[in-house]
Amino acid sequence: MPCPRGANRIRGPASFRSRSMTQTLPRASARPRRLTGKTSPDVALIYGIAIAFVTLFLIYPIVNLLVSSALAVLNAASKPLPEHFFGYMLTVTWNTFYLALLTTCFSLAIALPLAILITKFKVRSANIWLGLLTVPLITPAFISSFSVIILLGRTGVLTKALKLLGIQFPQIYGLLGLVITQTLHTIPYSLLVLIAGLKTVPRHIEEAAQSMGASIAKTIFTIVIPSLYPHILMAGIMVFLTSIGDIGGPLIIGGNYKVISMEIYSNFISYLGDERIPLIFSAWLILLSIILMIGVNKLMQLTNVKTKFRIGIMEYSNKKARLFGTLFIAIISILLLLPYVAIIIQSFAVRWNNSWLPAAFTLANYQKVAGETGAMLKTLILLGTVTPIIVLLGIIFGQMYKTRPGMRWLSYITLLPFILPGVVVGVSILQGYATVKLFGLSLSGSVILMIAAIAIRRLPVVLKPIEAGFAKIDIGQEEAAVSLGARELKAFMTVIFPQIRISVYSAIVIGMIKVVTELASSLIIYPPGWRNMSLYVAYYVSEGFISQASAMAVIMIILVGIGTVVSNYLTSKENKKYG
Amino acid sequence: MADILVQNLVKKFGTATAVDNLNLEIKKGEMTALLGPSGCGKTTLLRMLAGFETPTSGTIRVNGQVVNDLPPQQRKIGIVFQDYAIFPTMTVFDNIAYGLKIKKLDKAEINRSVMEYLGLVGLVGYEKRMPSQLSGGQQQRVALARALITKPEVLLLDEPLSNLDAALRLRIRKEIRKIQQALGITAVFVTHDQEEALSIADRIFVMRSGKLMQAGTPAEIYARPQNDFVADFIGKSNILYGKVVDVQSQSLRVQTKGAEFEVRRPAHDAARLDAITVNQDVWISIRPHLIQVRAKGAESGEGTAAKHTAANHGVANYGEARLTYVEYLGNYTKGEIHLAAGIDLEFEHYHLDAEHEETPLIRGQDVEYAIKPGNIYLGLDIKGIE
Repeated sequence: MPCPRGANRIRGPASFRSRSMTQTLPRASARPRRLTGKTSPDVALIYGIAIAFVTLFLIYPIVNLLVSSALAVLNAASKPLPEHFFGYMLTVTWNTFYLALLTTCFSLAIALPLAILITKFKVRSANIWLGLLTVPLITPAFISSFSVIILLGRTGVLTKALKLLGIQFPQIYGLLGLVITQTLHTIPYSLLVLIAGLKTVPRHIEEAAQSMGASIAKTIFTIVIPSLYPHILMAGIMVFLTSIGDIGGPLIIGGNYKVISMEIYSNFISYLGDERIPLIFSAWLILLSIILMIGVNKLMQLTNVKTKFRIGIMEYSNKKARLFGTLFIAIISILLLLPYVAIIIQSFAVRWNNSWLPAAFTLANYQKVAGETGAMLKTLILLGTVTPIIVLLGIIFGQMYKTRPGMRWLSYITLLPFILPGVVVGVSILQGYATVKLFGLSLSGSVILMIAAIAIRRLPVVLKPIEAGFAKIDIGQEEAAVSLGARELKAFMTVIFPQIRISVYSAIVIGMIKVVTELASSLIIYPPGWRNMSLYVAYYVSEGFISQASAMAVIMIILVGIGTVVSNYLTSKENKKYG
Repeated sequence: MADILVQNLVKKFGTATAVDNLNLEIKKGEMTALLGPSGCGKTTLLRMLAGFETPTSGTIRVNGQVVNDLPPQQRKIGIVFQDYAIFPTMTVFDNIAYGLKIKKLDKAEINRSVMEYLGLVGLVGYEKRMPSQLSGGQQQRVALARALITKPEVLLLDEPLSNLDAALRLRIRKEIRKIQQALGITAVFVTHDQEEALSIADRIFVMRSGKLMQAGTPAEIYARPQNDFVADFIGKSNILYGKVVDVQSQSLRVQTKGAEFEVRRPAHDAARLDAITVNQDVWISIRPHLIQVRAKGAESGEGTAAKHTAANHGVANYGEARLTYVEYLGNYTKGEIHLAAGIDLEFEHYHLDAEHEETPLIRGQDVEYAIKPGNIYLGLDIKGIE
């Protein structure tokens, strides 16, 4: 996978220089040198366990799923698929892509000018706005989906406001609602990727253009934006894949607009549905995602722009552009944050229909939610099991990719869940182990598969910052330690680990946030009695208890917010320590 | 072509003064070097000439016109950067054609012109390449062609060679100089490399801490540095500080730490040294290659050292010393001698006689040395050396 320009000074995992929270694709390390010497048995055992985990819960399930669905299609002659199946598949695929395309276009169309205005025209208090925009970044998409209903649903407060202006807001459920929520949710993401990209455009090329007579506008259109193509592509593909993999949106606001992930889910849980449909759809989605990713990578190679030199960026002092940019980001930020305000109000509401404010305020929703100690306990248990697993796996794979170039191919597999929709991860694991029994108990009824699914899905999120940490360390240090007589494990613990500690901290916190907010694969795989907080929010919304859902969502946002603050604190403390 | 007049120029960044009351004149058709250590304000000055920075006070005139607030687009400058600043998304052709396209010239004219300048920098056949397919030297040639094609009045070069490897640096340096001379364009060349400045420039401005230390031709700056900083920065030199103890019509004596040196007063430098008085604080500069060193008691080719050692007039110009460090470099040997007076001096001994193989100098050996009084340069202005 090519590294977009400015991904990192160090070759290897592309970490955009913005916070790791906002980093995009995890990547395979580039051409590491092999650590000399034979692998000792202890190290081999550790690697073996990690590889076994990935084989059991990622490679086998995906292969199994692809094979089963291929068989289902091939055997369609003897066991016919439902009538008009391929027509239906085509329609749903078209719907999914159409939605993803619209979301990507809107997200980029808003984020690109915004990013340029912010970075190039010294927009006032841009950092404060950007700080606020991390809220949508860290909260799960399904929360913004139902908050949009609060605002723009039939009885929503914005719908009412628009009505006063003489605008009849159309039905929110369906394509419109999906595009709105997904666009809102992905703007901060695109914005940060593009800002990171803009910070890599060296000042001198713009100065060169201007010394040749190019105006500021001309410079931006002929020099800056073309230099940004890799980042535009990167942001675009991430938004596209986010849209394709989104399950919360279609579940909550999708209405009758059928998309692949939702069809997989609804056919999977339905007793009436054909069991082959989710399989075929999942396999189809795996293929599409991979093809898409490969295609984008090829494109990125074509547009890949390398600059060896890093100097400051060019800033322009144009008062009009600056004012416009300030207004623009203020409006977008308010628009993006409005749903969260709505959720907070809703969480204290007795009833909030067709009125500017709820009829009355109450704490009852929180009391109700607090009564659901089960959900919080389940979330805690999942946190306590999944986080250590993925952080350990992250460290093991990080070290493996750095010191064993021969194992590099595996990194493409461990990052696969990043581009795969969560629903697919859930379906593949459940399908793979549906009939397996352990000590006489069916695996599909135990929480083991849920833990495995969440772990596999969130592994790339943790692996990425850890790999970035590894990339900063020269393998020579380890060779030095080994040459001084340390065994590899010892060398790792004493020389390498202290240096990646910061990355591990941030990986832990990001991992925790991502585990708490995981919905898509949990939704498929959770065994009876294992509804965690995000599943509860989804459940409340689907049952129409919007206020309780809001209360639970607020608690989740607070937890996630605390996690982010802690992570920032730890990182800054460590950074200070090591300068 | 243009001449540039800089008067009382000041540039402050916050509380830091990057350029401090600078006055200088850049002459039409000349290659001018702005030379100084990093942070001396040379790049800031260049960026003000280009219009990327606005002076805090003072004026910049191009052809008599004040251009202080003129945006870069209207200045008719070409600029070449240290990092080449090639547009990474465009081919070589499009890079070079960029300025002409901005001017909205017609296609045929652009084509013809681009091919001409590709020829000038020796890159014909490369027009369809992307910058990533070019070496650093080729990229810098593209940058040069791109800067020249719009026929700018001034060509600004911001450390254009510092990212190239040593051999390439010499080649591109020669090419830049030849093209500049062929086109007769006014050029300003920023560098921290004194050898580069000496080799390429018609005129050098030596800067430090935003101030002008000396202006002059390369020969003037090398041979007659105005202060100890310039003497130290341009070429290699042994700088010693001391007091004048005796003034004669032909020569004078300077007492430095532990040793007295005789310095000749050359007739051509009389004016500068006229007002000199006993007890005045001065510095002397002795270029390493002007110190003769040979093994003690060796048969003398010129006989200078031995002759003068015999009658050393009580000055440290001639005498014996201990060789404390030696590097053999083929065409010369360089090293360090420790004088009995406690002074260490760097010397360079050139191997000028291939016919008689010389006895190699060995570290720790006792040597004889000689410094002709006429080879010691006396300076009055003390700025201090970093």
